[in-house]
Amino acid sequence: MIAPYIFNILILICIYVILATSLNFALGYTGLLNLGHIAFFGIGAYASVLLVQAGIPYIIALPAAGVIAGFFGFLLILATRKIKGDYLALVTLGFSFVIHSVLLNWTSVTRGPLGIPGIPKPSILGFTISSGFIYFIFALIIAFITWFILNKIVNSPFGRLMQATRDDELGLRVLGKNTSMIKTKVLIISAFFAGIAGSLFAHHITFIDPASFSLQEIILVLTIVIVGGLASLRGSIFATIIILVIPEILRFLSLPGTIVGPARNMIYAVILVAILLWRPRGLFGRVDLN
Amino acid sequence: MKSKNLAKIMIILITALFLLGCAQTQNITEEKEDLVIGSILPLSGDAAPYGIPLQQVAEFAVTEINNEGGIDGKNLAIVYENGDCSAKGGSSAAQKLISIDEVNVILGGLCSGETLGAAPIAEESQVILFSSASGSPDITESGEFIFRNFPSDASSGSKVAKQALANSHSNIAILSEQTDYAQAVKNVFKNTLLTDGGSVVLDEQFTADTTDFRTPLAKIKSADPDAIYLIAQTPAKLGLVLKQLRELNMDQQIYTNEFAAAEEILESYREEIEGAIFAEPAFDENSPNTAELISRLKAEYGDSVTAVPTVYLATTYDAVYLIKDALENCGEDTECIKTFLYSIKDRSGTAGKLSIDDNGDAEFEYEVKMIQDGQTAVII
Repeated sequence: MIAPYIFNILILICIYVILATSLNFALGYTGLLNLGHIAFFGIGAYASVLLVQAGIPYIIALPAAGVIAGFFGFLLILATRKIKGDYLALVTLGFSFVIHSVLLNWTSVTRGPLGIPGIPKPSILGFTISSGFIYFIFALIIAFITWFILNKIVNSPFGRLMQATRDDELGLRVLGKNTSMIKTKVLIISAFFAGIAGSLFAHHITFIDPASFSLQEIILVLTIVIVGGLASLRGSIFATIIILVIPEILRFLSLPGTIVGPARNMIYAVILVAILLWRPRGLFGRVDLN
Repeated sequence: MKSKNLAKIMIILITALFLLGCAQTQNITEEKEDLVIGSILPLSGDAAPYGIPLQQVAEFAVTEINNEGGIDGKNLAIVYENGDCSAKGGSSAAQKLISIDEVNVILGGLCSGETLGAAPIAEESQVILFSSASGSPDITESGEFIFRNFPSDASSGSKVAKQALANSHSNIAILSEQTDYAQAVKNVFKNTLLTDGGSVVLDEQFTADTTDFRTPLAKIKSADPDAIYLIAQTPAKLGLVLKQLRELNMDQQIYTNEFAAAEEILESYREEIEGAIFAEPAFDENSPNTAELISRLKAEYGDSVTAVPTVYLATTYDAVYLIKDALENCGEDTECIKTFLYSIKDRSGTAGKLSIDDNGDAEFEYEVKMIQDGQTAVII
């Protein structure tokens, strides 16, 4: 009986690995301080669910969720390509509020704050993924593909251009490189994978509402990236495991019923602070956030 | 180096604490043979001021049951999990309770998101999920093993809409908060009003963090409706809207929800709320049963427990007793408990009489009330 519980955690880890590595791809490697990542996650989730409800097979809805999120990534970078650093952070944060607002207000499509319940488990070529174990394998494969693609890109010549954009954008432009094109490509890829993660999330939890994609979630993903270390995909993977598993371990800490909620959160916070005191750049971080 | 040492000490401390915790858990399970049920409530975050009092009420009921001999000689115990007021939290909590604690009955959740997140897992594992506080109309359809003794949000809206039409207020402006509860009630109100021949002149909404309502109120004022329907998520928000509404010299009839009768509103917004009409479950908080429960709770936990509307305390208290009866009748056979719960008819408890319908929903009698001279008066 313990298996479904473990698989649930493993599935969430796979989903957040996709989300965190794709954010690190934009934030750590390219220096795009993007706080709108959770909006892409939400767009992917809603797009996938609405497509499946409209009768589109999941095998098409899943990549479509990524493509739609990627398209919004393109729109976002189109609007923000001339700003950077803190200003970019503010504008992208604004973007996630805009998307959150749209999800709340476009009630004819999203059902607004009521959310969408009863989302079906994914069905691929007539085979429905209902068991936790198979869903975990499915999510693991997608997380692995994500890591594989992102890892290939960051280690390619394009990956070096991304890091150069982060370290010295002006210098790179002097060398005749089109940095806004680099940023555009990076953000689209990053948003694409966030959208895929959104689709996996929606069909796993089977209920989504705008509150699932709120500010609190941005903080969670950002925490993962910072604890894992900027510009380290490996770091993001380790950090996802740590950050999602600690609260689960804390469930087994026997505390008096009345303080269980606050006490767990306090211990969780202390552990995070301890990690960052011990490793200010995160577990595997190679660069500082400036 | 200093910070490194500090971090190491912290980590060692935490590990020690964790191991200590594990050791304790083992001792408890070895010593006693308890009947264990689970509970999902928001124990941290924005909804914790609601979750924690409900947890206290549940513990209160459990202590009572155990003092009176428990269930078939066994003690009842509740394992609490934080549902975080979200679907993700509800689903993880349910997964943990079902897989690790192997519970057959879960009390909760409070937020509708929690309940809707937990419902598919409970349904699949054939575990009873019994919510004493979630109102979302979507829960009605969420499964055979999902029950509640709390009214669906849908009920109050239609009752108030009918009353408005009966008072020949057919052109109504709506001002509602963008939360699942408020929108669900509003949708039913609007649909009933439109089907029965009324019309909605304006349908304005505000987000949960709004504190200045003058813009939507000014729009409503210029639309000149017969009456205004106000739906907020909390009594505090309702009070704020009312205050600004009266400041704009709007004197239309107000229709709203049961928050009109909240102590907070009756005390601080006495003039503003006068004459407002609302519907609430036929629940009498001054009935001897309920009044006694509240005074005992206050004695045990202090005034903070009544920060939650009384009806939640009463339904949660009743839910624990209902689960106790079910366990006494059926043991931990969930098929049997399911049949037992569906057969509940006119069961009296601190929240009034309860009947459970074919969808596992509570059938609540609704009363339309009016605030007169700072008191609630039943009009239907």
